[in-house]
Amino acid sequence: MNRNNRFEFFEPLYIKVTVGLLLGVLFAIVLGPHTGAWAYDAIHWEAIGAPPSGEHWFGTDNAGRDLFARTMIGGRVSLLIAVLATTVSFCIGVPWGAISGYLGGTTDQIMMRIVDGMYAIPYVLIVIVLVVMFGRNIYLLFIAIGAVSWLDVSRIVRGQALVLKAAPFVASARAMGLPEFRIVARHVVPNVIGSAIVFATLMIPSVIISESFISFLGLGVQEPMTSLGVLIADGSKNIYAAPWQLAFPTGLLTVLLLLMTVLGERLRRMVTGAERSLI
Amino acid sequence: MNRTFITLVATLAVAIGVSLDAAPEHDTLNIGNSAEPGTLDPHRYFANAEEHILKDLFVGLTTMSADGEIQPGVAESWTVSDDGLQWRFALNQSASWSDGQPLTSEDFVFGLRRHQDPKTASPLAHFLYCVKNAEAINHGNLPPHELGIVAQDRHTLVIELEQPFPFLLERLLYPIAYPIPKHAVDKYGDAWVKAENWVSNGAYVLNEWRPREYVELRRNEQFLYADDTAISKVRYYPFQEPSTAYNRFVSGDMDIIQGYPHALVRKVSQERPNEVRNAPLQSMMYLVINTRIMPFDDVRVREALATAIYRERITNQILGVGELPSATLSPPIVAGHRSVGPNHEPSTSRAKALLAEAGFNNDQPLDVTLRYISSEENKRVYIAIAAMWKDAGINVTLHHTNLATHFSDLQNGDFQVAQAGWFGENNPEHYIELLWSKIGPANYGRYESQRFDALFEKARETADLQTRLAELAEAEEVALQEFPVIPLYVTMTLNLVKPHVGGWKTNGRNLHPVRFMNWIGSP
Amino acid sequence: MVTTIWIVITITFFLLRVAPGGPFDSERAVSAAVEQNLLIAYNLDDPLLQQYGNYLWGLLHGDLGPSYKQKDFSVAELLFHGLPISLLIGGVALSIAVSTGLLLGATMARHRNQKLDAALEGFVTCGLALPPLIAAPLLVFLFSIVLGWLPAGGLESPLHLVLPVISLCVPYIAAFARLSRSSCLEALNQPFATTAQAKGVGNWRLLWHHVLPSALVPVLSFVGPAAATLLAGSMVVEVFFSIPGIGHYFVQGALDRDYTLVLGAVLVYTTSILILNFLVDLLFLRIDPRIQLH
Repeated sequence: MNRNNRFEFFEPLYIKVTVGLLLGVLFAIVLGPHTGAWAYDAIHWEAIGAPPSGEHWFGTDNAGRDLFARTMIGGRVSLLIAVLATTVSFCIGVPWGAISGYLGGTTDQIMMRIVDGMYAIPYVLIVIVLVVMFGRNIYLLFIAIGAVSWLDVSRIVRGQALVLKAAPFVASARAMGLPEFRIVARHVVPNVIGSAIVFATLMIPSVIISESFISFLGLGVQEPMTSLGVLIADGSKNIYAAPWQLAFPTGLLTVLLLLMTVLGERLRRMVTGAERSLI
Repeated sequence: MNRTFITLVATLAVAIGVSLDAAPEHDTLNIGNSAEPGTLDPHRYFANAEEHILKDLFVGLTTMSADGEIQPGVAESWTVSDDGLQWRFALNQSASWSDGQPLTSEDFVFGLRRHQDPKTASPLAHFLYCVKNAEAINHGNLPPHELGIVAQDRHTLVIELEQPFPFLLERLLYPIAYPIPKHAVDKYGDAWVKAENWVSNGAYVLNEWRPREYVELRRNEQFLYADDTAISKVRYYPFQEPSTAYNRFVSGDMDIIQGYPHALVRKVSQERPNEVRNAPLQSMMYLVINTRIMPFDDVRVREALATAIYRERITNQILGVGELPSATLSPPIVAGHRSVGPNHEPSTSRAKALLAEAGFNNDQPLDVTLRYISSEENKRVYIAIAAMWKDAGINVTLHHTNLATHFSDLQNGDFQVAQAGWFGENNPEHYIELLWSKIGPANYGRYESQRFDALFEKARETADLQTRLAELAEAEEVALQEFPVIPLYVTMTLNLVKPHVGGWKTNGRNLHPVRFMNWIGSP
Repeated sequence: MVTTIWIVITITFFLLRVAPGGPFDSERAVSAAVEQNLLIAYNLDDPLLQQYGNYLWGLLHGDLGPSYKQKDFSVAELLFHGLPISLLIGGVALSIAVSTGLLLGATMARHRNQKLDAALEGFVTCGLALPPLIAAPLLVFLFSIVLGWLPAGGLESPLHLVLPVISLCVPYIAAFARLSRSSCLEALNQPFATTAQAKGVGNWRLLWHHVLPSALVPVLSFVGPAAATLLAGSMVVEVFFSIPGIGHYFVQGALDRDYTLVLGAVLVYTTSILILNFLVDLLFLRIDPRIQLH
């Protein structure tokens, strides 16, 4: 993205609104657990499974903990997992795809076969094994999710690298006798990173969903810490007795996903130079 | 294109719909089971979900009434020798298998030998180690025919025991003691459990088993009391999620469900008062402490952990649907229970004092990892316990895993404090024996006390029931002074039964034979 | 293809064995002797490499082994029973996703940059944010419990398919819609489309005859990955609606350490994905003969 694009990006009203809302949500997630009157892990014996009230804005869960504080901390954890997992997947996917696409030939064949093979292994299995092997902790979850979601990244980067390989400046670099490694690191990677970052904004929502799925299986974060996925999985079991336990975390997740998808889509269009949206 | 597509989908759906079974018949009783059964071979059975079905398929020497009392099954009567070692059963002469073959004492001999045979690999073989030579046979040290069970004639069976065991009649209720159709096993081998080869002696026989869809039973016309069976077909549906079972009960698909979400109890009790059938289960939920590792080998630390827990808060405020708090490991609701043990009031300050004595304080707090099995109900309980410990200045880390991992960790001694539970029998010994050092892995905390062992082993030698119960109580009291476990509460079973199903009675075993049920009005 | 399957099976086999715990751990503690009996009965006491060899040997003969948890069935029987159900639900969900997605995408492209496009775009974005985990409870609550229109679970009639399929396919409709919108637009900018437009070919006709065929390629190539990720959703849907498909076997099998069952499920899954990809490649050939299969 060049400088002009950067301003153009914020031009449409809906983007300004989206960015504003996103900042608001982030603000609430980061500061919410501190501003709320209650700690996310304190038990209120007199208010177990209580509906929303002035005291507990989002009600409480069945262990008597303030749901507002828990939703906010859950949002923070989910977002953190998403960002870190995306980073991990980039650290593997970008070099993998760049090398594969740039070198081509047999190397490319082998590297892409590995990616195909990994697509076929259910990632749940990998996550389960990683989690049981190394015990359950939140960092492992980032790594596990990142380790299975780099496949898409490597595909996209490889495609870009194939195109770049034929680009004049890469050809001239090669003519100058630069070593292959340096060409990849200096010329290929920097040029694919743009479209990869755009992909990242689309990937973060899908990682949040993956995390919620893993938590649904009971393999997610440990109590008393929580995540949106854990809250939603619990809430969905209580939908009849305590619908607010599902409504608020789901609301936050949906809002987060919506805002990020809108931004990601906008970014993607800017970078790939696809048609202008005229909303 | 859109229309073509919709037509396509509709056709496909209809085609599949036809190939799937038609809706359950009018006279079929639909029961929501807690899980998919792992097997219907009584000797390989392991889980509660299997027992629910097996008790309709077979009848053992003894059986149970609708309210869970032991009553004659295939055996009409029995006597026991004075030393309590020899049990003689007189079998009902008209008993037969579902294929019309007569059922004789040989079938029981065959069954019990097969059960202890190491080749059968019965996961519950140790439940009948009380029978003479059983343990040696199961370990492969003696051949199966050495088992202490003899068919004196076609209708007389004698069981010899290693040691007196007054609770034998109750043990014989377990599917592992059911007779097995020798002629069918000889003919089909392991495939005898398939519906097409099925032979059994209970009120029902296996009609069809669609994995993870349902197990269908139909009335056994050859059953001993076939005239009394009112319901002709039963289907057991497996539900992994209690909320799904509840949805399908509410929408009218299920007549009975064995379990619905705990969080719904209050709401359901208000909305469906005539369908709710909650009852305490003969069971004990407790915390087990790993007594072999520092600092939990210190009895003061264990007592502090126990003293800091306010049981009534858990049972009344957190759970609150009738769970009974208990300070003893043997559930207060079982027959012959005696209240023993240090039943002092919970006290956070006393817990703090004990911890200070053991060398822990605010600067150097006790660190505890509490393990539990992931579930909505457990989560609430163990979060509350963690909060109570936190009040006593203990630093708690919660760790929840799925059931398999949890018990694998427990058996390997890889835990500090963990959730455990035990259920099944209506006598205290079944629970107290968990503290015996020779019971094996079920003594998860590796608790070993010479005083307890001596008292418990003395009780095991005693044939007279009342003396034995007194000795057991004494042994339990000794053990509880040392806090190897922290008993918590007797859990509840949550059943929903439609008003048109009669004959369903709550009982402490939570087993409900369909042969006693009937339709009220038109279903 | 056989090599891919073999690699996948090998990785899965050893991954499963690295995880702690075994298939016979459960709530009723089993004594060491009893556990030993169980291990011998299922040949789990052999050296790992020998077990691996035996498994592959069995596989070559079409034997997927016994299930350790569902002892009365072989893995093949369980999969045979569950696969048609999974294929039905997955297949219906996927075809609805592709067709509805294409239709939406084409409509959006046709009305590009108009109000309809914007409205649909908003709708699609919402769809992306609605995984089965959220959609399923909401749909059941609304349509089964409150309104009582549709069954809450089970699989007795075609009507029972409606809710599971909807909760499964919503995010994919959105993904396909978005994909086809952009590829339709791309195709619309190609010279042949401009020429056709200049010749006065109607808008819908243009889309249908000229644009869709070439826009179909990127859409179809997403079918494989979509089918692969559909699996994760199908597990949630199966649990929630008590549907006896095979998606459940991945998770429960892995949690229970039912090694052979997981391997069998992985085998079936891998094979179906590979076959699907192959079929998509064949379809490409038909749509656009210029594409070379390698």
